[in-house]
Amino acid sequence: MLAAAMPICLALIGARAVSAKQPASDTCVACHEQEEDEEIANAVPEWRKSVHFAAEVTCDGCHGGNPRAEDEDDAHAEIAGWVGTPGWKELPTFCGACHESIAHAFADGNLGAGFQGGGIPPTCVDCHMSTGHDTPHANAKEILLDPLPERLRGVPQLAQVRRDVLALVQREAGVSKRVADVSARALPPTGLARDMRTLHNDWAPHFHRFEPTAFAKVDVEARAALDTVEQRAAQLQREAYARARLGEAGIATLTAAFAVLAGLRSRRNP
Amino acid sequence: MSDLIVHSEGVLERPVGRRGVLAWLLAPAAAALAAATGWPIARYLFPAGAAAGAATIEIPTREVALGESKRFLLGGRPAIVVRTAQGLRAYWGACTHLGCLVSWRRGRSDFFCPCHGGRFDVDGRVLGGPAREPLAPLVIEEIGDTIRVRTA
Amino acid sequence: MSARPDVVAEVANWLETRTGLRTLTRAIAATPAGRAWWLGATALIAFALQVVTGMLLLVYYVPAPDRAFASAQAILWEVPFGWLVRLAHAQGASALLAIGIAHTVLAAARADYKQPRELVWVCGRILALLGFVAALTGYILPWSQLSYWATTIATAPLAKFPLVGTTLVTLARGGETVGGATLSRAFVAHVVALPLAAIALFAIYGRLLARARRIEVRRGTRASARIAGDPRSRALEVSMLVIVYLAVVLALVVYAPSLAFPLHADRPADPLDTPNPIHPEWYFLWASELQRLIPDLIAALPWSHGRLAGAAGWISELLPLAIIGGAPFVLLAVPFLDRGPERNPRRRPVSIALIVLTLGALAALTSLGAHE
Repeated sequence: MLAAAMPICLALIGARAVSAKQPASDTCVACHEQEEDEEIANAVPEWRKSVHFAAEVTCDGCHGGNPRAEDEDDAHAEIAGWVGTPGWKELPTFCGACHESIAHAFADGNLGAGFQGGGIPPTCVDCHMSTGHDTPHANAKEILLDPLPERLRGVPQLAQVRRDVLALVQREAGVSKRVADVSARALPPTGLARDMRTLHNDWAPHFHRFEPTAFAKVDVEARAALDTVEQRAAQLQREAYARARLGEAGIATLTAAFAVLAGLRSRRNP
Repeated sequence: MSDLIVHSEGVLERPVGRRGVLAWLLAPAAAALAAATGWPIARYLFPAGAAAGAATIEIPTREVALGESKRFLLGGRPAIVVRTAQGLRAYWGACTHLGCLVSWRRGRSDFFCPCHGGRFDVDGRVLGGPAREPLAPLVIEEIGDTIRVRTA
Repeated sequence: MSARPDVVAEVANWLETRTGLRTLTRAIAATPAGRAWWLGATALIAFALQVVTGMLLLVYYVPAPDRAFASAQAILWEVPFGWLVRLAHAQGASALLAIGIAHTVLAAARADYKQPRELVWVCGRILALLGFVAALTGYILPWSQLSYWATTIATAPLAKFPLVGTTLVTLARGGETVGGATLSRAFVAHVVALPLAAIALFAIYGRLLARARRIEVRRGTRASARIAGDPRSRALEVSMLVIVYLAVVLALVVYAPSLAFPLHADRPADPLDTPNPIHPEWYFLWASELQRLIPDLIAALPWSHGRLAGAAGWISELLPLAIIGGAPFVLLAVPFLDRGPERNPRRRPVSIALIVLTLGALAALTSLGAHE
């Protein structure tokens, strides 16, 4: 019976519980899903589609508050760190609580301190979200190919810097593909994937200043780094080919030996 | 050779003679030999464990801002401190399940162990995953611009 | 007939008088070589490759925490053909375990644990256990992030035993946490103790198997060799098997070298940082996945909160460990649990169902773990 228990246990456990991967339900979601005000109620399903949900960032991760409180006042208490809904001007600081370097670059740059247009100041939402909580994963090519919102189209140099960045992003994608191709066959650790990430994290915040001249400097450094990565990838690929040829020679020799032995054997046992 | 004794059911029994006495002595002798060789080997394999003594460390306040956490060594063992809206907390860094180091997740306000997904809340209590015991707390106090952490 | 003296025959006779080797080779040649036999032979060849590549690695590897990783990397990058030796050893280990599992499954399906083969099965189970312990102790030697944390996880359950827990874990680690002492103990185990034990057990296994076969042939429960193989043919066949195995390992090494390096095996150990995500080699994924899955399942049960939360906590922590720790013992006890005389797979539905269920569960857990 003991013998039966183990495999049956294992078999039952093989059927995975549905909610295992989802962030634990808490009172924020429980209350806000039932809200009558549509704008607030929409937040939860939107969030479920976003990259923040996938990264397991929950309501209190951005808004503060106590997700395990039993009543509204405790949940939204200031002592629990409740921040509330940010206004337009506060959005960059709000997102900057986690995305620090990007928020700093934005605040110092053309669309932050340097913004001279009227009306609603530019914020993260303009490029990164459509309605509020459904932030998708930031795909640089998609964002840069999307048309700008109407009120930002007149911002000087914005279109220029977007074009420059798009060119860099495309070059980066090409090198990434090269790195991916090499990684399966190269002797680890290549360090190339890490180099690509470091490289990207070096220039990405600078883009958020939206200033072509500032970006041009970063661009030159980034391209030089990309060239180095590409050269290293090419070298690793050559080494991998050399090993593959050696391996094939070895396999050919072994096959020949196999054939000889097989012949000898069939002579003994016709 | 001693005489065989015949019992009523026909079972034969040999009375304990010289051979029997020697057998009785052999077992304890063998045990003594095993102990004599085994004990030094056993002690050899068990290092004299230095009992982890009390330890204290001081961290500048500015290194742990609101929402941030910091890993450090306390008496040679990893530990973690975090500052949340609920205050400062410090714990031994090892997950109580199988000993991997936990990290503070800002987005979910919990300590997370990557090995089997164990989660602990800001007070160290188990939120989920295979851990059973809460995180082992350290004593923490903030004096001026220094945070002092010491073993409980 | 040739007039000149047959030198080979004379040397062979000289050897035979003194060693009796021919009797042994005749015995091996006489066994009918079915799939189980060939799988077992492949396992033995795989083990031999591990020993050879292992000894070569020892020439350059230094078992000290500050030099282990660097010396292993030097073998990979700098020593001529060092990449071949290291990758063959790493991938050969996976291959050896896979072959061992296949051999076990085949033996279980054909009821090769029933009398008089109970001890053969027990011996085989111990060999399999040695194989997994060898994988575990071998893991730690390159002193990578994976080495350090996988060993932390593997030795930590020892501390959960009541009374003797601390003693056991100190014995395994040579201290409170994984460190240089652990590396030294793993080195002794992996390089000396386990190979010696394995070789002794292989010899015992062969002897027990031969004896069991003799009894079965005499009883008529197993047919004797349909075609009595002669030693030279068998030798040729085994040589061909060796060549095939070497070719497969070579192909793996050259076309998929990164298979030998799971996540985090390419960075030196950092006792202050557990990488995220982290998971063990494929043959331990099922264990890791059990530890993630069972607490989630228990938390999904309505009674696990509230008053029974304490019990739920104990079960969440200890049930997976009990299953993982108990599995080798359950498998060991199989011949004593299933004693019926029936050996035909078609007439043992319960046994076959259990085998399929266990394999299916393990495969499901492994694939879940791989996508974690």
